[in-house]
Amino acid sequence: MNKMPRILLSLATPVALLCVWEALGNRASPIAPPPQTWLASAAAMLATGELQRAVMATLMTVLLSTFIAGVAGTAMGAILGARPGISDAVAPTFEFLRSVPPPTIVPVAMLLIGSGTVLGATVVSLAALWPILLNVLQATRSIHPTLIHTGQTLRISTRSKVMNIYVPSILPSVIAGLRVAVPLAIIVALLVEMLATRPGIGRMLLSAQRDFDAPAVFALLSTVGFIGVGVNWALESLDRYVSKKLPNIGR
Amino acid sequence: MTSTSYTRRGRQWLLPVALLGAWQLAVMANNGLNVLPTPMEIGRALVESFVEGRLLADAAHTFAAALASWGICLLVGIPLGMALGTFRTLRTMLSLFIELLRPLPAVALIPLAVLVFGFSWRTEITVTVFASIWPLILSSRAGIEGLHARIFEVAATLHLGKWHTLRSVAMPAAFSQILVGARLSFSLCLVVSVVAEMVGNPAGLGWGLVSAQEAMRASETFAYLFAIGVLGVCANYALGFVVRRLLPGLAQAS
Repeated sequence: MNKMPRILLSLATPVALLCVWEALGNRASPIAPPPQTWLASAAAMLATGELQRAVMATLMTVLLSTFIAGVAGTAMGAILGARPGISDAVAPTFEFLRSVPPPTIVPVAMLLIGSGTVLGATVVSLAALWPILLNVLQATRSIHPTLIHTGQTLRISTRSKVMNIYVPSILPSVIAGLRVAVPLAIIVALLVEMLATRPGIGRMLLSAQRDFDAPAVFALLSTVGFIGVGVNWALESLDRYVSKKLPNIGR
Repeated sequence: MTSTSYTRRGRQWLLPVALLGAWQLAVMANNGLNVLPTPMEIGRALVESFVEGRLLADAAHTFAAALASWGICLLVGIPLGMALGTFRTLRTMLSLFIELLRPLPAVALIPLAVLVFGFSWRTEITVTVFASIWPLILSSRAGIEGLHARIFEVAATLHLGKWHTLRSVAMPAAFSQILVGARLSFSLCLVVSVVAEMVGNPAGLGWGLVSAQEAMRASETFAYLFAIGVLGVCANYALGFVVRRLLPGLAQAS
């Protein structure tokens, strides 16, 4: 009963802001054109198919890289987590590699592998790898030994061990890692498109800025914003779905 | 005890040294078209740009920009977050707004900032503040929201005014949570200012990295990457130290 006015109130601020902007904004303003010009610009880009192609290109890079990073990060994290000897030995190396900001790999990778098709997928997967790897490593290390011993005592099959002990312990951390990794992947994908002029929203944004096409910049920025909100929502739903489906092992 | 910790130390340093050695040998063995510089060459480039004073000046610029942005984040983020935690109506009004703006990637914002401010330090600071303020807003809000109702009941019993309650009761109680957000915010400031320099402001370590790459000076590119990593590690250690000094009990949490 109290919910409806709350939703209206939370909608009111952005809507009011856009309306004021629309009413007061100068259509020819080089830096802050009103929202209607954004829509016109977006419609023009949609009509030529340019916007769809750019969104698809960026999303493809992000999804492919997240998949690679998810598989590799989970495998590496689980192996390192199960072998404390190895993870002790690699700890300082990881500490340094982790603190190199992922976007700064882009220029180095451009130098080494050129600005071809593989550049995006390589750099973005590398950037998305760390959050997943470190989360899974932590989760694997903190599986309680009693759980594994209980499994041995009950002589459950390997399949059952994987499904009932390892997957429920590790999967939430994979998703927690993804929630950090995917926004990072979007950032790095956009940066690759900007620096290496690969097709995608990043390149369109940069060329719109170079043409002083403010409505296009705002239209593209809103597109990126919608992608960000959509991805956030999808990962949150996945998180909720998985935590409902998994057996409770008292984490 | 000491001997095992020594061997552990030794093993920890073994891998980086072995990797660097293997790198050096591999590049030297493949004595043809080498894009990849050897660690020795990178070290030489590092020393050269350090002696010229370029590296230090660039690092100082990046650090100063990050610090200035962090200051703005602290000044704006903490009061805003605490206000959001205190007033329910304000929270409802701004919740959707924040949810829409927060996932906006910083990189996408750079072209807009360049459009408004040109290729300048204003672009860098604006983008950095926009990207790094969220952890502070959210942690200050959560810090206030998470306080037990009894704390406020005690304040009311003591007849403290609203301002007094906020300053001497709510603020100290929420301090640890705000500190966690402040730490996260500073790490973000450092990263985002480097990124902003790569695309939006031709100065600092980010620009040094990109211009070395564009000039195809491989060893210098790696030297800059290394310097950025070292700056990150140092900042992280310094912050960890400060947090431990301010809040001994928080050492495990962060």
